[in-house]
Parts: sequence; structure tokens; C-alpha cells
Amino acid sequence: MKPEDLESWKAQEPPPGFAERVVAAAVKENREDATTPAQPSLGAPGALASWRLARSRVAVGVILVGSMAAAVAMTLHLHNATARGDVTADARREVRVGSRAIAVLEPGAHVKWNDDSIEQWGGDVFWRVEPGARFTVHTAAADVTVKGTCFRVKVRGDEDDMNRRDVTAGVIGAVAGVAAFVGVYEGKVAVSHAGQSVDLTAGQSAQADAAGVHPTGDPASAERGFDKAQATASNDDPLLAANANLADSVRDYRRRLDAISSEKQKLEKKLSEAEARLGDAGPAKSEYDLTPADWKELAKEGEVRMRVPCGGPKGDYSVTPGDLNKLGLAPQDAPIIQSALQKSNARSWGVIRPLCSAALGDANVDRIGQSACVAVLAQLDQSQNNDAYTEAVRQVAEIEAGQRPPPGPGDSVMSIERAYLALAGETRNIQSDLAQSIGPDDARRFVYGDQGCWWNSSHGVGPRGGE
Amino acid sequence: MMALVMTAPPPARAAEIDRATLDRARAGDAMGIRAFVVRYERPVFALLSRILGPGPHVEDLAQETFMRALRALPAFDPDGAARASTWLLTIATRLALDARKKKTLRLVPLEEGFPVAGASTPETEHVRADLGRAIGKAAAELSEDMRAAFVLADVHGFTMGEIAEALSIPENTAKTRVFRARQHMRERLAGERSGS
Repeated sequence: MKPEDLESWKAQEPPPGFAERVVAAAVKENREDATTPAQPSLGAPGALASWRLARSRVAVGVILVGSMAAAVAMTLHLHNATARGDVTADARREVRVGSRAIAVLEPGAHVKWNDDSIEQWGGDVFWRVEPGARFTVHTAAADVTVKGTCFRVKVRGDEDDMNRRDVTAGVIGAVAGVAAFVGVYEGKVAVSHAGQSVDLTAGQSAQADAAGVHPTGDPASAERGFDKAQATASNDDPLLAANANLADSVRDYRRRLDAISSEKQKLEKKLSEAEARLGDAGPAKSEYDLTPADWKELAKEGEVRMRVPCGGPKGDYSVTPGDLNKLGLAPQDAPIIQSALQKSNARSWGVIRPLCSAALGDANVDRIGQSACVAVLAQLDQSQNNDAYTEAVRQVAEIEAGQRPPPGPGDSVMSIERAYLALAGETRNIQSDLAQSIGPDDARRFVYGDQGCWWNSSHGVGPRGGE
Repeated sequence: MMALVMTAPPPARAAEIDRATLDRARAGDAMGIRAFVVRYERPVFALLSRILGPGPHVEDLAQETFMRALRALPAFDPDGAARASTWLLTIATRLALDARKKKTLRLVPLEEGFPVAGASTPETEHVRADLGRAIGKAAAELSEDMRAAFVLADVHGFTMGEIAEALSIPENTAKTRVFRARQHMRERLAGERSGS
């Protein structure tokens, strides 16, 4: 049989975005491995050693990607980058954009740039940006501001829509009928729209359209949902689409007014906090250092914030004397702090582990780890009932604000609500634990300081009754 | 209509990923990892779908293949005897056969599945569609182990030593399986030709 005969034996093709999904899973796993003591499960003799070797090397690689190695590698790749350009891809194409970015354009994608001012006029683009100063990709639906990261932006709508929009339209808002999907695979980005800004970290995604910016969870499944929704929309009756655009416009204006009002309140609050800090010249308050009053504000916005310790490079929650020194803490505090962090992990994992086991059957949840389990629970609950999920998130904030009692052991609530509650209370628990040994001031300094290994996460679903 | 030549010149092997990109992937660089996946995703999907038949399980197993490969990639020796493609397809083959043995997959018959694209005229399209279906049908009659040996040898250009390594069998057993698989394919396709 000739080889060309076998070519007629058709094979299944990889679906669009497969490579990005693998990259996202690999980056996520490496991050988990860097923070969670993983249990090797490869069956072959000798696999344990090679897995450990692989794990340590890959983890280091990913850490470096986010810091110095990325800067060096990208500088080497980008020193001859074109300052200006206008590219429409007719096939998958990698281009250097501005001084700090590499973009992989899918067929049909259109990107223009002038130094670090980037406009994505349409299509699907996977971005890789060297860490540094503010870097913004403008689309007709939203602005995506990044700080050293890998992310994908998909824009659906006419290219003329970009002309209808001012490129500073993070303030002005999106053009009706245009939607953008943003999935983050590494690092952190801010998606801005009509004065509203949503921060996304690795493993998160959002959709921006005339109605605002909505977090959409896991990038891989959210991207599939975005593609499906856009495909359906493109088949709709043009009259219906026009009506929908008008409705979007009205809703958009209403949201802009609300957003401006909300933004004004936030700015006034920040101003008063800044003035208070000026008064006592103390350090800036962490965004995770939340009083019941702060939680009330978050509850209004339907947002929860969580900060829990991760295992660190050794996976044992140890902290180095150097870390403690930077925080003004004594080296002898290290074992006390390590013990408190281990207890914290035992508490939260004690809640999340059985939920994860119940959701995943007999999967090895110890190997999956806490943060991945939480992501899985969120995705499952969202996919089962998104309305109930958003309500669960709001209720967590309200419980933390003292506006609602926590659920009892027998109460029927979503798994994610119990998981988020277990995590949201941990900064308070660790502070309380540490305060008994090292005093409340030092406890607060450590828990909200920038040393050690912490998993910070925030989820916003918007206020009740919001469109 | 089908013009099958029953001699089997070795199939051309796909070009390997360049060393610089492979090193970036080995170091955990996200762009390097992406380039590695993009370079090899089609052969991995092709191998899995031809051994197991098409379906959502192919994407699941392809992702698992790459995840396992990426975990082990730092320990992969680019200067060693194994090519990256051979090493990766070996992982995919083992995963496919393991999944089949565990009977965790709901499989679509091999002869069903894909439209034939890229033919230049309706007539050649028709001929190629017929030929593709006939090959899929004949391959479906092979055992998984024998089909894997056939796909590795005649689609992906593995040597007998590489097939033996991939299937964890002695080289002589690999030769026997490939020989019998080819014999079966030859007989079935000859029968198909005479019957058409």
C-alpha cells in the first residue's frame, strides 16, 4: 500500500484552541506543583524519579517565565521588533508587536500597532507580553491591560466597529454588537469597559460586550461557550440583531451611568482611605485585609476575595528568615508561622477535600490539590446552574459581612459556597492564631505582607439585579 | 477504481521541531510549550483516532498525552536516540491501548467518521472517500495491538525497534504483528477492490 493511499484514511483533526488549552493546563499544573506537595501517580518503575526531576525543572521554568528569564528571553527576541505595523493574517502567523509582545494570529485576525499602542480589530490572537510597564490591547469591546502574561483575545463584530470607538474607550464603553473574549493563561490582565475594570489572573477569563465585562471562569470552556454563542448570534435574523443592538445600547448607557456613579463612590472611598493613611503614614492596606464593612461593600458588588497560604517551593509552608526580615519579623518566628500556615491548610482542605472527592468520584484529589479542586468545583457548579452559582458567590460575601448566617452542616448549598467560605475566612483565622504567639501587629504584617507564598483569588459576579 | 500498490515503501517521517523551540518547551516556557503542541498535535490526533476511532475521547487522550510528555520533557534527551515525535507518539500509543484495555471509552467504529476534504475533483474525492472508508473498515477488523503496530509502521514510519518499544513487546513480535496486519489489510482491500 502506498503512503498516499493511507492519507485517504482520514484522521480526527485537533480542534481550534487545543494547544492553548494544553498550555493553560500545563501552566496551571506547574503552578500547583510549585505550591502543593504532589503525589506522583505514574506507574512505571523509575517514573517517580523522573517525575520529580521533571516537576522541579518545569516548575522553575514557569517561575522564571514570569520573571527574569522571560524578560531576558523576550528582550532577545524583540530587540529588532517593528515599531509600527498592520497585519491581517491569512494563515496562523506569529508576529512581533511593538517592543514587548509576540502575537500569534489565527487566520482572519487583524492587529495594528504603533510601539506599545495596540489595536486588535478582529479575530483570534494569542498574546505573549514581556513584563514591564502598562501594555494595553484596545478592542471595540474592551481594553485589555496586561503586565507580563499570556492571554487570548477574540473579537467578534465588524472591523468598522473599531472606527466607531475611541481607542481610549475603556472609559467610553463598548460598541453595541461587538464582543471580546479574554482568556488568561499566565500572569494578570485587567479588562476595562465603561469605567469598569475586572482583573483576571491565570486560569480566568471574561467576556466584554455592550452590557459590560463578565467573568466567565475557566478559559477553555468559556472560550468554547463564546464561540458557540457568537456562531449562534451570527445566524440570527438581522432585524432581531438590530433590535438587540438597540437594547444593548440602552442598557449600555444605563450601565455607564451606574458605573460612573459606582466609580465615583469608589474613588471617594479610596480618597478618604488615602487621606487617613497620610495622617498616620502607615503602610497601605492590603485589598485582602477586609473588615465587615469592606465585606458589605463587596457584597453589594457580588464579589468575594480569598487569600490562603500555599506550600511554597518545599511544599511545607516554611518561610525563610529573609522573608521575615523584610517584614520586620524575627527569624525565630519561622516555625510558629509555618505551623499556623499548615493548620490553615488543614482547615480549608478539610472542607474542600470531601467536596472535591464527591464531585470527582475516586480521582486522586490529594494530587489535584486545593486550588485546582476549587476551580473544578466552581466550573461544575457554574455549568450546572450559573444563576445559583452567582447567588452562592453573593451569599458568601454577605455571610462574611455578617448580613446572613453561615449555612449549617445539613443545609443544602452549592459546594462552591462551602469552599469559598472555607477560604474567605482563613486570613482571619491565621491572624487570630498567630496573634497569640507573635502579637496582633506582627500577625497582620505577615498575613497581608508581600512575603511568603500566598494564593490570592477574587471572584465577582456583579450586584443583584444587574444586567 | 482503487489502485492499491501492495509494496510498502517506508512513509516519510514528519520534520521534527527545531532544537531551540524544543529547549524552550523543556525549560517550561509557555510559548515553547505551545509551539511543541502545535507542531505535534496533528500526528497525535491522527494516531489516536486511527487506533481508537474518532470521538471526544481522542481530544481527552491527546491532552493527557501532551501533559504526560510535558511532565517528562525536561528529562527527555534531545541528543539521544529517540526523536521527539517517536517519543511522543509512543506515549500516545500506550495511553490509547491502556484506555482501550480499561474499556473506559465509548468508541465510534473506525470506518465511520470523517468527511474527505481536499480532493481536486468530485471523482477523485469519491475515489478517495471510498478508499479511506475501505482502509478504516479493514483496520477496524484488526485487534487494537495489531492496528497500533500497523499505524505506527505504515502511517508514522516507526522502525520495528521503535514499535517494539512503544508496545512493550519483543522486536520479533512487532515484526509479526506488522506483517500480519499488512497481510490482513492487503487481503481485505483486494477483496474490496474486486467487489467494487
